[in-house]
Formats: sequence, structure tokens, C-alpha cells
Amino acid sequence: MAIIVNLDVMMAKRKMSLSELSEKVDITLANLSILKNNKAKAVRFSTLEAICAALDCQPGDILEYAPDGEEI
Amino acid sequence: MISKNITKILRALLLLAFICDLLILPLVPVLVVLDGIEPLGALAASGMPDISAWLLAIFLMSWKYVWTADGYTMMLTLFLLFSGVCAAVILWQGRRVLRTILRSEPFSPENAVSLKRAAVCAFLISAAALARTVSTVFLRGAGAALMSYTALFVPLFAMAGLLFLLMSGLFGQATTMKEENDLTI
Repeated sequence: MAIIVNLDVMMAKRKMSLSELSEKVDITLANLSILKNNKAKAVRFSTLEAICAALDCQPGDILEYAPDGEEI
Repeated sequence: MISKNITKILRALLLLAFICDLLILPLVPVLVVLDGIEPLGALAASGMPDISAWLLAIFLMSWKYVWTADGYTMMLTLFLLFSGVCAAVILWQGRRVLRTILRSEPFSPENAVSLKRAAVCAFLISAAALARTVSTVFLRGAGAALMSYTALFVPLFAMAGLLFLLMSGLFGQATTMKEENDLTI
């Protein structure tokens, strides 16, 4: 997947653990873990909004586009 | 809750049908030779001494007779045995699908596989029925062949096979959509 989720980087900057973030955005630890480990296939805007509000950041701070070698 | 009870009942009925299918399979030559189950029932109800010995003798002689008798008898026996095996597979795949529903995982990849297997078996039964119908045309004439239940099985099981194939595709799509949904945070 060419979209990389840099959630752990922003969490480290804000000194927030995954369980704290999970409580703040009302998403289960399992789902946040899926997001953090780049296993998710899609993210809802409502989820993105909640995470950005909790981490006080922009979507671009947690989402990155890195095309791999196979893409044309 | 209600649908789970219905699923359990249906699964039990499929198991019963599966067991009956497996029990009847070895008796197919006997039923072909005696031309139905009534003579067996009459024999069992006759109160003759050594009835089990008689039944065993009939069973063994039937298995020998059907392969050496006329072509019509052999084709009928082959068709019934082959269809019986395919029907058992279809029933078992039906149980597998119902098991996933009981596990509350109806949209799992194994259902697409089960339904595809059932489709293949349905097509095989249809093909066997077609082969038997064609052989009956040569052995007993077109009238006897086309007015039989076997001729009806050809389009019936072909339609069933297409239906299973369609359902297999639908379950496959549903599985993909569920996976997308599960991995949408």
C-alpha cells in the first residue's frame, strides 16, 4: 500500500500512548493498532478528524504517500 | 436467535439426508434389481424365517447381477450410484455453509468454495442424467428416454448448478466487501 500512516511518530511527539489515544478518539485499541501498523484498507473522514483533533495535527502529519517501485 | 434455531434445524435435516444417502448407496443394486423398495418391504414384513440371510443373499446377488445384466440395468445402477455420491457432496457442502452461519461468519471465503463444489456436483449429476437419457434413447427408444424423470434431471440440476455458481460468486463478493469494511477504521 502506497499510503503510510505515521501515527506512532505523532503519538511520540505528543507523548501519548495508544490506549490514551484510543480513549480520546473512541476507537478500539485493535482498530487503532490496525491503522498504526498500515493494515487498514480505508480511513473514514470522521476517524481522521478525531485523530487530528486528539493529536493537534494535520492529516498530512499522519498520512504519507510513498509510491513503491512497481507502480507505473 | 430465531434464525439460529432455524439454521440448527436445517443443519440437522441435512445431516439426516446425508446419512440416509450414504445408507441407501450400497442398496442401489438391490433396488434396481427389485425395481423399487416395495418388494423389500414385503419380504421384511412376510415373517419368513432367516429373513436376514435372505436379505444378505439378495444384497450380494444384486451387486453381482447389475454389472452382468443388460446395458439399461447397468446404466441405471451407475447413474444412481454416481448421483448418490454427488448428492452426498452437495448435502455436506450445505452443512458447511450452515456451520459458518451458526458461527456468525456467513461471509467467509469457505462459503464461496463450498458453493462452487456444490455447483460442480450439480453439473456432474446433470451430465450423468444426460448420458443416461442418451443411452436410454439407444436402448429403449426416444419416447421412454424423454418421458423419464432422468430427462427432467438434466435441466433441473443444470439450473441448480448455475444457481450455486451464482451464489458462490455473490458470497465471494460479499466476503471482499466485508473485509474492506472490517479494515475501514
